[in-house]
Amino acid sequence: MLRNRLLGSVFAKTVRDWLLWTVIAVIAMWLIAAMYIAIMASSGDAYMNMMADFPEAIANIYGSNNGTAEGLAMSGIYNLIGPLVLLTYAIGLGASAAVGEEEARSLPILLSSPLRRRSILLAKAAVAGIGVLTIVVLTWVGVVGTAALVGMDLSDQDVLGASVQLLGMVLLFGALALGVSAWRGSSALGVGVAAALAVLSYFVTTLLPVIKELADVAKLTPWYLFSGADALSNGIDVVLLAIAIVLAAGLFGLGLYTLERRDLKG
Amino acid sequence: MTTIEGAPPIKTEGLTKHYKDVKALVDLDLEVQRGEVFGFLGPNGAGKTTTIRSLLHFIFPTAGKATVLGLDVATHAVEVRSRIAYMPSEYSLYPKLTGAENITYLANLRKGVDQGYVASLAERLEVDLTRKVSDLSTGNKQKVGLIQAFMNKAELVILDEPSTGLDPLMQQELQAMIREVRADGRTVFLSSHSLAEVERVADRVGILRNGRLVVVERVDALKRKAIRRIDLEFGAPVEAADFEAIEGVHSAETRGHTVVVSFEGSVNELLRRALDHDVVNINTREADLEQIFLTYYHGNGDDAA
Repeated sequence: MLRNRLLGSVFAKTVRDWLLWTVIAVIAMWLIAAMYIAIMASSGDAYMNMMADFPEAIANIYGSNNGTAEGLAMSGIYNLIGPLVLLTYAIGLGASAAVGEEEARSLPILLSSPLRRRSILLAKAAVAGIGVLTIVVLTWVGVVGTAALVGMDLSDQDVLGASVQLLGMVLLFGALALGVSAWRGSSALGVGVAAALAVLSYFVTTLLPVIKELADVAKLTPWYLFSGADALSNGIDVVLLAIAIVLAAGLFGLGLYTLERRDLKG
Repeated sequence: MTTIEGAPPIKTEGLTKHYKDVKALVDLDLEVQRGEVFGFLGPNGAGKTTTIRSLLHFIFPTAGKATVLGLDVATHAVEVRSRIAYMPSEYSLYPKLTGAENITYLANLRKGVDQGYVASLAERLEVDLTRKVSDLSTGNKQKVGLIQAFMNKAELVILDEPSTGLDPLMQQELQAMIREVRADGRTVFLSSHSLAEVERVADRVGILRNGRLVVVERVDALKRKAIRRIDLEFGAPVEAADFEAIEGVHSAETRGHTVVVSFEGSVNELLRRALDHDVVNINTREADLEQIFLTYYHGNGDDAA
């Protein structure tokens, strides 16, 4: 019965199609978070001592950690692995939202129904956005719950702030994948551009500050909209978050505009 | 709902589509009448699918305009799609869903679909809708596609190569379904490169060649115009030249005691001349669209649209 209810609209069917990916992403985040928290709860001091000997460039990769085991655990989750899982999800689904049906050749029959192109894209993008939000919220719940379970004190860590700041950047890269895919009718191009920019901007943001003269260049990358806030320590940076959301909205709008004005393939 | 009474189900004016240097469709003027089955013929790459995709507003014409049920497809695409049904030539259903789930999804998007009618279509086409589409044969996937095209009893049904993968019995069933749509006063636009298929159900045909509409004609009128062949077998050899001067004869060739004549129009004068000799046997064949099609496609026909 529920399965048939999830065939009532493009939105519902997309939920049905992508639910498994969302569950997998949440479980992956929980497992990673549990692993980080468990390791740091038991051996955090040893890791802190080890990290003290790391070169600055390598230490930057792990992000800010307040010099505590708790900080190192949260940094591992929110600066390293969390973005990796969430960006993979958001970029993949962003591209799929734009051209998944077109590339699968199911669009001609779907679009022979009384639907606008933009309403299909809006429905799918909404599901992708809700999926990202769900993963972020459930990850936060999992992190706080696991930390409480093992007695880790997170009072110095703004986990919620980091979650929100990360959400902004992930939506930006997801929207980039969506926009490029919708514009050119190619998910490979959308995923490629978004993933390449994410990797490049991550390394530029983390490694460039080692060179003092180039430190400001790092602020021009999309990744800085997340890392520049250092939200785990400082909380949400509203300006950087707003920039990320405005850029994401702009890219999404570009995707909508171009999809409405190009020939569909297949 | 915007309704224009009496408007033709399909009308195109100067419809043109270029892909860079490729002229996929050139200056197409076409009008399909309400309640007819219109056959749209041409080989692969002639522009049939390009025409249909323009009618559905999947692609943007380089020039010209198209109206469907009196509505400009460029400005009323959604309303047009709410009143038509379409089966593409190349498409994919959702492979992880069963046939029934595919139909349910598409029916939910269109609304107002009678599930009892869906079941009767499935029974007629002998397809098991409980199986996953990924487990169905090509022919059975095609049947699911046909069900979705016929299930909402649309005013205009656009079918692009609908008999692909169907066995002869199912092709006959499809033809019966198409005739029922016509009997119901609705319209079918049937695109195909299968001349026999179109000939059996179409009232009129349009022949497309290299993106240009070569001819639009009633099937019976086209047949009358067709070049037919008659084999006249005589008791002794007869000179082919005796027949070449007859009006309507395109060619005559002697093969032993038989003269093979290609002709159009009336056969009366041909028979009179034959009876001047000792006629042993006469073989003639009904003209089919294959001959007509080849006539136009090879450039012997009238190129005027």
